[in-house]
Amino acid sequence: MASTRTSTFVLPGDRLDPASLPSHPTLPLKLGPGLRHIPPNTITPTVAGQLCTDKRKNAVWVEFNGGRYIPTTGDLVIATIQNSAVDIFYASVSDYAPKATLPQLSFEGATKKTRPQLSFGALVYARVTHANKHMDPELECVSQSTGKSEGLGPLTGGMVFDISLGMARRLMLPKPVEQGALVILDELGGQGVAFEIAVGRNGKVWVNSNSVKGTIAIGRAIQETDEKALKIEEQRKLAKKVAREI
Amino acid sequence: MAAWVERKQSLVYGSDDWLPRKLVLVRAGGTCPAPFQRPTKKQKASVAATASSSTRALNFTLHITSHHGIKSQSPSPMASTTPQSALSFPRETFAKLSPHPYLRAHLQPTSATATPTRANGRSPSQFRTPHINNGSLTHADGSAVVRIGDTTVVCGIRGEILLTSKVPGWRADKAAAEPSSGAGYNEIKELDLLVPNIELATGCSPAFMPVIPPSTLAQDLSTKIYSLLHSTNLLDREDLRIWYQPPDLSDPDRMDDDSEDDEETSASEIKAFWALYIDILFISLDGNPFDAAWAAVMSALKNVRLPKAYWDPDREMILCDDSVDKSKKLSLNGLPVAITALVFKAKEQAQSKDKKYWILVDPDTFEESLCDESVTVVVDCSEKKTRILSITKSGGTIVGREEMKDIVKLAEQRSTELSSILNG
Amino acid sequence: MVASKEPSVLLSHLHRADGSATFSQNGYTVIGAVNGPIEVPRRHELPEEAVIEVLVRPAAGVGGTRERHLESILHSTLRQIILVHNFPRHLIQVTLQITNTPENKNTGSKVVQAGSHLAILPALLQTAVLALLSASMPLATILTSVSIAIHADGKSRKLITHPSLKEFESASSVHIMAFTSHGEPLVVESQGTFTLEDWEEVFETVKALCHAEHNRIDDNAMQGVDGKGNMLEFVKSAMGEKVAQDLHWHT
Repeated sequence: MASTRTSTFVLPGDRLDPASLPSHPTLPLKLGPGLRHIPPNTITPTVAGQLCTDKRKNAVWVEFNGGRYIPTTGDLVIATIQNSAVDIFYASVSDYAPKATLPQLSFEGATKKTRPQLSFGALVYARVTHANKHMDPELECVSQSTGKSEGLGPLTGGMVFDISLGMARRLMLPKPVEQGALVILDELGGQGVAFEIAVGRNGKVWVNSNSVKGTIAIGRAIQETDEKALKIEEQRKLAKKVAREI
Repeated sequence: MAAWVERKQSLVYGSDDWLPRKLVLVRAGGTCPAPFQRPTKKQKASVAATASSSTRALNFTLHITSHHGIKSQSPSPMASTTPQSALSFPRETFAKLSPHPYLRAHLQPTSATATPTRANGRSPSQFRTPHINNGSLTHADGSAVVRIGDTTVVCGIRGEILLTSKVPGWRADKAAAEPSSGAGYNEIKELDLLVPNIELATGCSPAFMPVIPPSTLAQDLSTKIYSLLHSTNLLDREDLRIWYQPPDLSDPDRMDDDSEDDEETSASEIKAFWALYIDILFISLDGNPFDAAWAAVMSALKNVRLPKAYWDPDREMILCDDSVDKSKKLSLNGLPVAITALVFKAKEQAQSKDKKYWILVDPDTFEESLCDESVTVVVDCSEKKTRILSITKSGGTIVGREEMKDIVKLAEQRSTELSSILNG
Repeated sequence: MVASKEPSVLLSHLHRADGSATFSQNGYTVIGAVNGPIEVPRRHELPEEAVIEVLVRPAAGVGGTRERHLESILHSTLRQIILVHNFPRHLIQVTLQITNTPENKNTGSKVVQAGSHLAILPALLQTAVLALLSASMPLATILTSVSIAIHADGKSRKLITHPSLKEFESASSVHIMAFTSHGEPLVVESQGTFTLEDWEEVFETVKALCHAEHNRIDDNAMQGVDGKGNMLEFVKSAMGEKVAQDLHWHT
């Protein structure tokens, strides 16, 4: 993996060295977050971060942390129901941002007669289906192709903790241990702590366990790992401490 | 006052033959009635204009017919495919519907020989003719009415007396001890002897609603005027001092303004200051408020006659002399003139790569609404070498060294024009 | 106490804001917070671009006309560097709280005088940009700002970069300029008495201080360069540090 990826620090508006961009004979160049294409052929970063390239996928993006969540199609988010209209719910993805719409029928098995009853403050784990700068984002809790929930839907019990966007991204990496240097969850599991977790790209993590005390301890541990930028060893130590307390 | 009812110059169009005579707007889909002939291929030029509102993304194709035709800006694919019905609009409608392409169509020359002309008929570097009328307010110590195009400003200046005994922490030696250069204690600044206030009257422009607090524009303008008044050191502080010399030391006639006196005869002291209240009122606003306001302030300051004021030791108060002969004019340090220019970009998007632009001086409201970048230069050409007193620019990246040189040159030209009116 | 001309910054230290920075230079300290894109009241919303709201709050008292003037300069400048078209019908809020100003020797007079209110402009601009970077707000470019005072008496002429408030007030002319990282002039505020030649010299001086050399893309750009007064290098190193810390896990 490391051989195909390189990273350099960039600031908005920097001129990128064309040699640093991947060039693939057949694949089109994929632009990830934090980059802007100015026609005809200029690519500049729009945020401060590390420019990463993946030669195999012919992709280039900027890795950064912080800021406000900007909805993107396909992201999994934890949303809070604000109110409901005739056939949609209005859900908040981040504070003070325009509300996202969640059709009442886009839940698993929902029909006109059996639609979920969600009141103010209820949590849902949802996928962003439409994200357009001119329109409010749209969510769904069911897979369009299979009609199954695939883990999405209302989150009952548990608690939500705020984390940074970078931490959310780390938690959602396919291999958090190798790619994200993140072992806290594995270590907690290894210590025999039982818990459920759902991570939203909007900087929220939902945790549920047998006891409220356990839930809070696990949530705090995740937040601490994020805020104090704990190394792998420190995460192990923290996990042991948390497991002991529970 | 006859000058005020002259024809409205800004609405008279130049006779440039390329100017659009008729603007035809074609709507894709052809649902409109078609009472007009379609312009022939040669006559028409199309400017594809996406309606600026994204929510109603209607595509208008604007056909501008003229004697010579305007070069195609970015031909719309629709224009050449299906027959469309044409709907003709007067130029005002075109200006309202798509203001940016409207102004661009005016500025884009059709041939190499044609000079770009703005929508108001002026060339990009042409100023509006100023009209100045001095001393029309009787109750003010100095006043001026300045009209530049449809922008009209009244400025009234009134002097009020500030007793040194009322100044907290006033020490007589403080003012006398410091050198009169810009450094150190400057009583005009410290005691706030110049108080400009700008009011944008309700009705001077459709943008101003009644009963709202002073708009950002008004606050912004008065800060600019205030800091310019101070940074230019325009007023001689001796003009604003009211001295008192005890009668036993010298004869009272020459107690006023001999600055050498205060060092030799320690008995003479400053009893009071003149504080100048500068009120600026916009009667109508059609762009370029700062230049007009500054010209009005300058003209009014030149018009000021402060009555002779003296300290009456018996009554322990300042008295003013009635006679006009004894009143004094202010001696102004130079004659600064402000000019403002805007940068109009060919591309509407602020961060676009297209760098084509025009620099428009003395903009009107319509042009102001279409430009982001503005430059204001204040020059003083009263002496041989031009002194620049202020350069401010914000809102864009176009104007650099070379462009600034041109703008300063324009400012010098404008300065000679305005000075002759201000002095005359 | 002599205020340091060297800039210093603290990034992302406010937890409730999307992005924040505290910047100090020349005795001025400004806390900046950026929130956005967030919802905007209907009557203010723009259909095509984000509304930018700049709030400048003075160290003492409430904002007056001077702050409005500074806000309007900041507003028109930030609008040029934020990619406002990415967030139509949204609000981007930039709040700048001045916490420290250099001591004014004329105590007892008004706190900040006309003209010298511009002295704080570079600090405000720099804080706003750093806070925007901290908020990962999409930007077209960044800007850096430098003030220069010219002291001239008849024959001799002296340019002072980052003048102190005293030098600022006694100067024959003062110039505040901001350039993008491509060396394009964004803001110019020049006051006093000067000639076009003076101004052009200042223009080139500030441009050199704000401008990046494009031929250096290698990582060791920060070493060996005389970073004194070069604001772009400062922003680069401050942001580089922050990013490295944020992405410590990233290989």
